[in-house]
Amino acid sequence: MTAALTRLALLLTVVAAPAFATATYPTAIKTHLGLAAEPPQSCGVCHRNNVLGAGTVTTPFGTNMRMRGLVPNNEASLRTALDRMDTDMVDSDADTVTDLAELRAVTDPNVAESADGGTGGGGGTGGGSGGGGEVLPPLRYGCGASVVPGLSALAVLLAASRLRRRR
Amino acid sequence: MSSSSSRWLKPLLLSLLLAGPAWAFPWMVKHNYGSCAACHVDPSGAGQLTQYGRAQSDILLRWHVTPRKEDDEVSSTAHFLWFLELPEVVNLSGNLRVGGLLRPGSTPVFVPQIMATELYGTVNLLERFVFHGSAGFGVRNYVAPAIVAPRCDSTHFAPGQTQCGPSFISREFWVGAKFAEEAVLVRAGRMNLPFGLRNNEHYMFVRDLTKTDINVGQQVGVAAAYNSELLRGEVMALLGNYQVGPDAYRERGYSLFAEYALKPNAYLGLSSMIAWSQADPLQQLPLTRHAHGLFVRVAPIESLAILGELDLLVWQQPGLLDRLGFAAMAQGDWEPLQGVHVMLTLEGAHTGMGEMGPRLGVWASAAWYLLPHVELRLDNVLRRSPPQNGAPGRVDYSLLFQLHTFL
Repeated sequence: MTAALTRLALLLTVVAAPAFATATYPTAIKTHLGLAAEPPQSCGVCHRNNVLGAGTVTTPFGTNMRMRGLVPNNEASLRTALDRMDTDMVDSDADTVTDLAELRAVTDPNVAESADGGTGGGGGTGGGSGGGGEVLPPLRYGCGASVVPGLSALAVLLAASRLRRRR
Repeated sequence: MSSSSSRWLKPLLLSLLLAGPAWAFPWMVKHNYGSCAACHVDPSGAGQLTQYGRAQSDILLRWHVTPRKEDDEVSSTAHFLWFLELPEVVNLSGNLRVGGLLRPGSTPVFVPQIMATELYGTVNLLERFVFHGSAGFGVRNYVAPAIVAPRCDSTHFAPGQTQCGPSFISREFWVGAKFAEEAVLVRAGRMNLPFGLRNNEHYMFVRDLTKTDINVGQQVGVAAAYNSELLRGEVMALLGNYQVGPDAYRERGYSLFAEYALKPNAYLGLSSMIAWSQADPLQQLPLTRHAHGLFVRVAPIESLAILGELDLLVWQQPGLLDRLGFAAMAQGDWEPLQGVHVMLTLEGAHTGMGEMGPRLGVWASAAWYLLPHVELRLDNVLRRSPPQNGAPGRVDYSLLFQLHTFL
């Protein structure tokens, strides 16, 4: 029994999938999009402040890439995510220039055009927000932190049932 | 006061004494108590005791200067507030746990702790309906998911702080109805998640990584519990923790466990949970958490209980397997004298986040239930964190001491 548990624990340890940053991704972006060079932000285009490791793909662009299937150590997932970003015309910084257009224009898809000193235009495909640029508010603790859809619905139901009873 | 009432109240007080931030004693298996429902208001264990539980607590758990005789009356100090006998319809209790954490090599080295300051109330009506709630005071982020007010988020921190301030908290509030001669309890409200061993040490990997720590792991939902001599279990539909927001962070899914008595002193259980949220707090991406595992409780001799749990953990993005991991623990609880416990616990875990090997921990603990309603506890915790994402591994030691009083 003990040996079996030990083997299982070791197996789980071995198969536990590490989620490192994937060092080849900047090059893969350059190749797939036919860029002259890798994105100047390098890993920072996905990893906020260039902090690498699991759980650090938190830039708006990186988040949108993950929502479109990007996983670590899988260049096919990177290519698929880039294609979907293109199709969805994602504009992570909401500056009306899509992320892929910004990569081609060597501007930062995480920083609005006017703020990152870009040249403007950048391919001129703007206009599509892609719906992926929204950043959620931070986690909040305490009641009254937000509207509670379920409880609101319950209140409406209770009110309706009271009305019915009165009739 | 009737002697039977006295029996109920004494144990209640005692068990409050023993309790952790929330209390639960899976090692009660050594007294052939496999089920939790007789002694706890929560049918799956932990938290407030029933009147019967108060009595058993005084009889079985508390240290007695002279060994207790079979026909001794339960002490009147087992009552609420050490003296107050309550009618059966109302069950009141409270919980105060304070202490300190010593961490050599860290800054600050000593951290005073206010772990629990809570009042509990339960009303039993018509021998079928149960109304239960808790309310208390919490500090900093230890209890953040249970905060009721004031609202706390990063925009409300004091300058230079990353912690919530003093808060009004509530961990549990639910209504329930008993069926099938009290074998079944259906509940709705905010409650502990039915999963694994309901142990009170925190934060142990098995409770932390499955988010089932009874300190802060409660969620709103609907649950049905079953308790019989051989089988007990509970299944809960998770509707989310409505004390956090916005709604995207709340989890929906299920959590369950079932435990079977192989022998009067040996129990085998299984647990399962799938919880989905639109955004996990770390990456703000949709996340589905899976936790599935087994747990055991065995008492080879009357003074020794052995507990074990192993859970497989999966974190999944939509359509993608993101990470695999596990959490495990094994604990030996030796009670050389009634009310004096010496515990050794081994634990391990892997989160699949690039650790170069498992996290490991060893706990050497002692607890003394020295007076009615009073417990002293000491935990030596040694933990090894493996190298992770380029950061070197490290070994941390901490000493946690606690004084616990219950009403």
